[in-house]
Amino acid sequence: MKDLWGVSGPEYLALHAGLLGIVLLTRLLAPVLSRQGRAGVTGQPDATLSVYQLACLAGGPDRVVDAAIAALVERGELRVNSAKKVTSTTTKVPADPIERVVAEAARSAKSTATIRARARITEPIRTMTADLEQRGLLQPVSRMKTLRMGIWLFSLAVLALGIVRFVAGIGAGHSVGYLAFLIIVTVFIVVVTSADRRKAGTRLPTAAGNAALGRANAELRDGAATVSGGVPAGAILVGAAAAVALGGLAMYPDEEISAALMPPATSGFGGGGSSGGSSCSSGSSCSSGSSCGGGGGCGGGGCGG
Amino acid sequence: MVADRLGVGIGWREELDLSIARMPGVDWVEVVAENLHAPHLPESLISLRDKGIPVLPHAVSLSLGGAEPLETSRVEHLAEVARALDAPLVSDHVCFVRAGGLDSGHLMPLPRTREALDVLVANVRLAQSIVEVPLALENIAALLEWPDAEMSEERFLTELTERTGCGLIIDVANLYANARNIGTDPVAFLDGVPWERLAYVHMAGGVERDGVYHDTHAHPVLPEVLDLLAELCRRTDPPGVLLERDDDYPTDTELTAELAALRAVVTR
Repeated sequence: MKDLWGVSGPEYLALHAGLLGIVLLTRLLAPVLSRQGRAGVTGQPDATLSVYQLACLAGGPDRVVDAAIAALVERGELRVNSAKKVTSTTTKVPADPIERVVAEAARSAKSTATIRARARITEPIRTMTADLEQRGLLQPVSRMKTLRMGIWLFSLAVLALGIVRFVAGIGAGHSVGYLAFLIIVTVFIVVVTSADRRKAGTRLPTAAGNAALGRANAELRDGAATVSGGVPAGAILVGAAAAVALGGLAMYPDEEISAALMPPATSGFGGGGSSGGSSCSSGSSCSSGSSCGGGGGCGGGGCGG
Repeated sequence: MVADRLGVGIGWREELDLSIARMPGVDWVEVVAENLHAPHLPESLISLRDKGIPVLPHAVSLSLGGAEPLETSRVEHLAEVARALDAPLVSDHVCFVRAGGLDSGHLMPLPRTREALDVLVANVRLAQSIVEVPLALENIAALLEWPDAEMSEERFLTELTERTGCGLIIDVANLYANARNIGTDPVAFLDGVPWERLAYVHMAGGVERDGVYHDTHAHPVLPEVLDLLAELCRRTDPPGVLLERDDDYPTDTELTAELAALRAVVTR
């Protein structure tokens, strides 16, 4: 039987598998590729980073919200119970703009996950992200987005090629069992890369950003009072906010409070929830823990006489 | 003495569970029995119990003053919760909450008549035969008084304790509310209560709106209510004082300050 397109069945299968391998490898290396591809970032390590800016570098907008929640819980302005319900204890408006939007979100949202969802899109956090990007500490989201889009389009093209080969193979009376299996695998990969494409985009720090994070981690570890240099108010690296900024909610100094603040782990696909992704590199300590999901907590509570 | 010395406590609420576990000056807690299921007690409550902090269940639904037969399943639930919490005492209110198959949603005052007292006494005796620990009953805040009362509230409570041997929880905020809203004399009440039957004291915050005092449990305790507690303390040394807060929970610091204020009055 004549080879279709002049390529034998096994040769095509190897080629198809190789193309899928390229998709997966590129997806895996996307963070590195997008970083290396960023030329000309020579931003000086900035000595005046606030706790919330460090949180933004370490874990993106969600980490900023988490750090502000930690600060407010530590000061008693928010309360969390063991059912993971977060409540305001005061009508006092915090002076810090980040804390203000988080406190505001906490008046209607009742869990870490819902507070994140409301606060992460607010103006002070968006401005902070843009500012860090401008200062060369955070990678622009566009490059990562482009790369993800490219990976998705490439995987779609591989799928299309496979389908054409499949149809042609059937027409020519070839055996297509192995190819059918590869196509199923390809569909799965297309779904995954498509989900990647829709992700909010975990902003990764640049080399300079990572260096700043590394220094902040070292200083937190060593118990140094402040980030080196002139530090604005709110940048003192002590307390729950600093621990959470650099390490995530898992690092809240009180274990029970930490467990209560962590959003419940959820399984399942899609949903486009928050990306809790922490970006680990150059000595930044990372907490694991995904951060998707809806709020738990139950109400109830009767009244006594 | 109905209860051992308890000290200063706070009403345990799910929203406050981690706060209460960290709050200084909490000697004991009271928990609404109907919110609990003995086989599935909240971990944070078990942890308090295991630390040796007394956890006392307080019921709101027995309707001991009701004219209808006592729903013994509710008393059994209370007994089961008390067993699970290893509680030294259980309690409910001098009131009814159901009639004619309807639930009032409020603690309703009883007519202070011999007939009503007989019904209450019979129900209390039945409840006592089911629970395995002493039962205490609390005076409520009433927005109305039934006509043709045959005795004062303090006399009603005295006869209740004499005939059943039950203990008393005196809610000082309710006493204040009754004085403001229906003109009862709190000093006469305090003079007439059988203090030897006192289990503990309830304190709570409220607010006055349109000339009516609302026992909200969602506001700070008023200085006037603290003064009334001081008046009570001139007559007896209460075995326990409990702060009830059910809504608009303030900061831990504010709650701690309220507990300290109660302690200051009872140890004065």
